[in-house]
Amino acid sequence: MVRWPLARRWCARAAPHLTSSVCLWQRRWLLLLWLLAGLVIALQIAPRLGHGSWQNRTGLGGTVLPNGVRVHWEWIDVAQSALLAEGDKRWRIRGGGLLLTQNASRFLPGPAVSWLMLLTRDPWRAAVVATWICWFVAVGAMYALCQALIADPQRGRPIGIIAAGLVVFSPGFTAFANHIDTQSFGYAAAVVGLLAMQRSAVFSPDSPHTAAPSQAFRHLLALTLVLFIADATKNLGPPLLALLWLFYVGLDGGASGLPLISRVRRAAFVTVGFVCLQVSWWLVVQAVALGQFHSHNEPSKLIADFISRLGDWQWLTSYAQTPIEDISVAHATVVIVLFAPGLIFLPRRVALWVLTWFVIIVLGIAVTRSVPRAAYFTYPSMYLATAAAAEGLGRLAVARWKQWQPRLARWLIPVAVVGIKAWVVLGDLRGDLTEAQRWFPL
Amino acid sequence: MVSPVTLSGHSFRPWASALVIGVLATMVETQPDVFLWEQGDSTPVLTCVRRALGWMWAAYVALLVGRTAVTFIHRRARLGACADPVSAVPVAVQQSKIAQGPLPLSQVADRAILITGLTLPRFLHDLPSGTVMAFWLVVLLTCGHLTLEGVLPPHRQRWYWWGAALAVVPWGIGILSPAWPPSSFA
Repeated sequence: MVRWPLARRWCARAAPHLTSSVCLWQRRWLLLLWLLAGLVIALQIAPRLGHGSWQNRTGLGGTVLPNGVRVHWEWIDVAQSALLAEGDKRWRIRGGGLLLTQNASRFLPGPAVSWLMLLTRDPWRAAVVATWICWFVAVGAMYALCQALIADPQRGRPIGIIAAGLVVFSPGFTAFANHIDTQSFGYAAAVVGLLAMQRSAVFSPDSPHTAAPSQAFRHLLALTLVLFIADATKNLGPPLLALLWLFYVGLDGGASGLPLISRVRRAAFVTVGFVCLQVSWWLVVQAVALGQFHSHNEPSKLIADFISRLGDWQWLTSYAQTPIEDISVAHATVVIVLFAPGLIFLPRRVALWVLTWFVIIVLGIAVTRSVPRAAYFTYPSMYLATAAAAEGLGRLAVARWKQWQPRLARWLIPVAVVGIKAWVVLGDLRGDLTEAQRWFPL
Repeated sequence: MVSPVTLSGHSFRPWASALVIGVLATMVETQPDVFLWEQGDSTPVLTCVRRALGWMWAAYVALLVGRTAVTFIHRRARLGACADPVSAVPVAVQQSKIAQGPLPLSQVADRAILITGLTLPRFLHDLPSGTVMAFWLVVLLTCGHLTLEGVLPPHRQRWYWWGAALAVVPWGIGILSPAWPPSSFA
């Protein structure tokens, strides 16, 4: 048995206060699972490199880069952000000399790809590496989120592993794996933002920081910055702030032990800080771009369009089912089927969290733009509930078939669930483009 | 990182000086365009703001570097060798500060700005265009520190800043970055 003496010694030196509880290096199985997840993600990306993204494969058009790789034409949106960050005047090529507001608000993926180009020497390869990193981060964050939400480690850990396994075979990341796009950054930022909010210790019960104003201030500032950064990937600030107010201040507020006025004050700090950072950013970018903007995919404009059509009852009744249809497209059937049972298996507080995030995203895409790639932002809640259902059914199986190996009986159903999902998502590698065509219909 | 340097009994704050330098430099640079203002063209106003932003950013970084260097030399001469050249505080004081708690936010911001200043060489031809990335780097570095301070022990947090500097320098120099392909064929 390998005992990882070097890793343990390094861990004891670098983070002595962590070695007894949460140091990952000491948990050999967790490290191995994480490495395995990284390897499986890489093995999923590698065979698809020559085929282009799902968008290209379903015939939605594209362009051929100088290195011969075919990508969807939207790569120039990421390029505009990157060129603006580099101070390259060619950013004016994309919007007819104007900076698209979408590219200013979803700014960070561009510079991230630009920085990775230092290593890869090519934007497409940099985007592939960035997708792998985002995917890998999302897997780790999903596991940590499950553990943070479910206090009981006997349940939180297996549910976290199953949910992370579902992210490993994610149709969202798969769909954009060969593309230079902001989507992968957004999917990773969503789960990292949710994890940061849960872990910020500002609203959590039994937190020592609730009693120390200076520490609470730092945590609030860190949370504000995380939300601001998440917003700069795929406009995730508003839904995350909505969760903050609805769940952590309202629905779950009593669990923190903080009086309502304190919760409101802290959430208001985060919200005002977020708005101040947004205003500062837009002032800077307005000055640098000399005010030459073109409104494109602006959430406020899309919401205004939605409100203007609210009077049309016929349109509203036909449109109402669109977000639900998009969610059914974005997720594999096994995930949708197990979502409702998962809510029963989860503790009440976590089920409430799952429902709150789900409803926020459904309403968000309903009032802006309902497409499967946007509906996929429900995945942290969907996968958490699905994993809880799989874990719960596994425990029931142990109780039912006592003569079996308990460990085998417990993990059979979760492995089957992840396996079914993997079969669906990996379909394009077998030449079956059903899933890709559902995501990107012609 | 450093307490404000005292000059003639007044503490030295870089932001105020950067503001003055930025405005003065912009006035000098913009003087040839003044006639356009009189013709009612609004573009020069935005151009003026843009230039001021660039000058203020560069001036702020230069002043902060100067303040850090001056303080470091003074303290080093007075109190002896320092363990952390960026903090300019002797070992014993540093250790007592570690015991006191986390790095003050003003010092976190100063370090983030100093490291972001490493991108200035890339934007010497057009200082304002560097403010876009500067804004985000300061936000990212500050957020990174605030997140990591709960994970790393205080004496290891210094690594974060050296790591960040190492990551920023190659991009900041710019000559190592390959160019994006032309967008015209998209």
